[in-house]
Amino acid sequence: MTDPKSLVDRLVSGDQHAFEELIRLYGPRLLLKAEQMLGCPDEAKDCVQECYIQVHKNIANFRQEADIFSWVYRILVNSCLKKMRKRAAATMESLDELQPTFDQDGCRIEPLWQTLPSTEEILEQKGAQQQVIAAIQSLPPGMRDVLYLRDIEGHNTAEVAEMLSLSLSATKVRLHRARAALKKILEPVFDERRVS
Amino acid sequence: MTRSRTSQIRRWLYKMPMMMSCEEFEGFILQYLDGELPTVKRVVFDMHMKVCRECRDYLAAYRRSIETAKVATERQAQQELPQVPEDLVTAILAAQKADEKKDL
Ligand SMILES: [Zn+2]
Repeated sequence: MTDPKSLVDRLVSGDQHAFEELIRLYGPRLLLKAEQMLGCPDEAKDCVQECYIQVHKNIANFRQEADIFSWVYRILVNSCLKKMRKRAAATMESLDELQPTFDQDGCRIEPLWQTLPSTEEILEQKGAQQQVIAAIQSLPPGMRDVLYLRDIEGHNTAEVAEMLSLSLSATKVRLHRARAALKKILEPVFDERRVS
Repeated sequence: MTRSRTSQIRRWLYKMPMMMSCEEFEGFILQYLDGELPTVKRVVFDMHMKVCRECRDYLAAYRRSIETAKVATERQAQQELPQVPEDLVTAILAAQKADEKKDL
């Protein structure tokens, strides 16, 4: 196991092997985080690359008493957020076909559940975890980013609006539509125990 | 009771005072979950949920999918991760060298 302290010393002194060690040491966690944030493996790789360039450039400014992983991680998250902000500004697919439906009197048309399985029950089905993650990733980026930051990372709606440079009302619309779409996509994963 | 008979009752019921339609209910979900609905609206919202199985089931599945998404993502992060792909390591090292040259 590499000692982070000596790794930082070697990095500051310009040791190229230390830089490669740092890539191999934190790369897996950073890559997963970027994939989770961005939902796209290629963009995730771009962000990890950009993160490491920043790390190499700024290692001299790193305070030795701080935790090197936290520092690198924050650089990565900022790099992903920059990407999210850029795509938040792009026009968004509306996903009307995944939104709830109502009849002409405003009555909901909705399949009923005999018993809705618990999260535990859902995720213990084979392959369910991967299906759920694929469902999140399948949402249009402008929507899934809001859902990711709000519901998975747990920021409040106002914070998400600020992180993505969106208005509060636009953030709310996207959040609700993203959640409704996710629910629709996940219904088959939840299982077949429905009344109708 | 048949489904169509139930629908007739719903149609009539949701037009009563202190009631809301399913479509209106949909529009208040976000505020309801954030605890931001004014008291009177919340009472009407809760009342709708009591009488409307469709909205009750919808909201339950809506909440369950949020929770499931969160738990699945957290579990993924706790699992053993594969190594960084070699092509990414190579790409980062090359990009870093190019960046250094650019700065000289
Ligand atoms: Zn309803």
